[in-house]
Amino acid sequence: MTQHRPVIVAAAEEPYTRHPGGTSTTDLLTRAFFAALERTTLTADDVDGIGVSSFSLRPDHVIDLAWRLGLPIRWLMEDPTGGASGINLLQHAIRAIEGGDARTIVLLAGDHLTHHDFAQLVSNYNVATRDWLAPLPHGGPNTLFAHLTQRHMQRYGLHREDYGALVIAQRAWAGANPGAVYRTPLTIGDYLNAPPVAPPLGRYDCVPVVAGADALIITRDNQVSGPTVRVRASAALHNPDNQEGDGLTTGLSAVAGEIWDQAGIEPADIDMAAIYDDYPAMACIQLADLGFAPDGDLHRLLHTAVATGRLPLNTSGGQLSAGQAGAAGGMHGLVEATTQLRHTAGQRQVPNARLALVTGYGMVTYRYGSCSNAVILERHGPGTQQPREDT
Amino acid sequence: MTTAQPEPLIGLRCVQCDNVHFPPRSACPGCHERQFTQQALTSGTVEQTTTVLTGITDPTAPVQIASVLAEDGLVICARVRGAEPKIGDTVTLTLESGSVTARPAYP
Repeated sequence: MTQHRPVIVAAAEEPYTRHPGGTSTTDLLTRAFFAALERTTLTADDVDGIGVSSFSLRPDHVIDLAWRLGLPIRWLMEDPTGGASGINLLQHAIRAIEGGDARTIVLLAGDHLTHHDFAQLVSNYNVATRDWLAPLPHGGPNTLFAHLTQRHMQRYGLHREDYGALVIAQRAWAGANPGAVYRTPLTIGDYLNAPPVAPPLGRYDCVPVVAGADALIITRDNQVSGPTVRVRASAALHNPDNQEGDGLTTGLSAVAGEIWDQAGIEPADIDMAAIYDDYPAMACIQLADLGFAPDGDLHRLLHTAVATGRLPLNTSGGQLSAGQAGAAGGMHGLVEATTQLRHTAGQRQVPNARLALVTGYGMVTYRYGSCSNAVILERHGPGTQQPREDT
Repeated sequence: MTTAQPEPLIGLRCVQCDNVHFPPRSACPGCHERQFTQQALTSGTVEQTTTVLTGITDPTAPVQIASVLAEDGLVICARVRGAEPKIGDTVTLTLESGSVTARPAYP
């Protein structure tokens, strides 16, 4: 059987907003779909696969979205795994194209969650939350990650200022991202004195909830010319410890060796990292899991690599500054990495970006996230034409 | 308003390997056995605690939520009632009106 070579040819984001008005989730996903398509020479007639992740698409499903977009499709997928959904969809899409199940797949993720929707979502996230956390009431995942951050601080000798260094660095990147909802530079005073949410978490440790959507288009490499992005390696490990641990490592720690071996590179070779940043501690944890602090000195990682931009981390501002559009959180990192690798990131472009690392994390089954995945993406072929800037 | 009697918090002990788990699941996380006996989780030590000031469910008063290390190494999330706990405090664990509740225990 012929093995086709899948490439990511386009990425687009329907601008995130904290004031979406009456726009529907389907509208957001639709706009992201056509925005991505417009960045290629493909048309909707070329699309024969669709994958979607959304908390608020219901009662519609992926097939309804295909019908609403007018797309006959040979491959479809709907992924409920929140922050891990972007990479999970990508991994399955890659295999579908390699195997010839589809030729051109569009992956979509996004949400418009009203305050009520969000309250319903966090209280009914799963049976364990519904039965054992919502009745406390725990008020949502911030509480659980407040506890996790306390454990992290104790284990690694970190203080709020250290997480602040990450938050401030990402906000600086966001200053060069017109799509971010928080762009004003933060001082350490701003960070430390912000209203507490669930101590030690303050306002800027928690993602701003926005409405928006993200799209990625993957096709066979012989369908397009110009620079593309390939998946050089991918790995996942979910429910690594049945929630019997402390959440201070993710499944990535078990598969890190495998992903670097598969890619044939090491952490120092990465030009930019889009690490799932639902909370600053979780971004640290995933970086450590993947070998960015081999000596275990997270203080040094934060202050000399992240804070200085020597490790370009979440160059869109990440979810902490750009916003979290529900289930789009996982796709956001893929879109930013693709934008960087296609050299269309404008003012925030990492020079000569060639290799990017993206992670996904999420789905708190009881006390911390159970899902973890990662991909290493690589730029291919400068092409003869420079694509127009995406921002 | 009458308050219901507190009920015990029940974990599941595997008949095969003695692993105790909570919340209840379908198969033992230790050995995948599917038969269990009930194990009351009665007390523990506060490991982390936070005050939920801006809850999505908009509690009318700040709520104290703790991670409690209970019997058999289980970590349980509980609402603290009775007094504000400190890390390391011993608490009793029960179910009060369906809510996992920790109350500081005094010697």
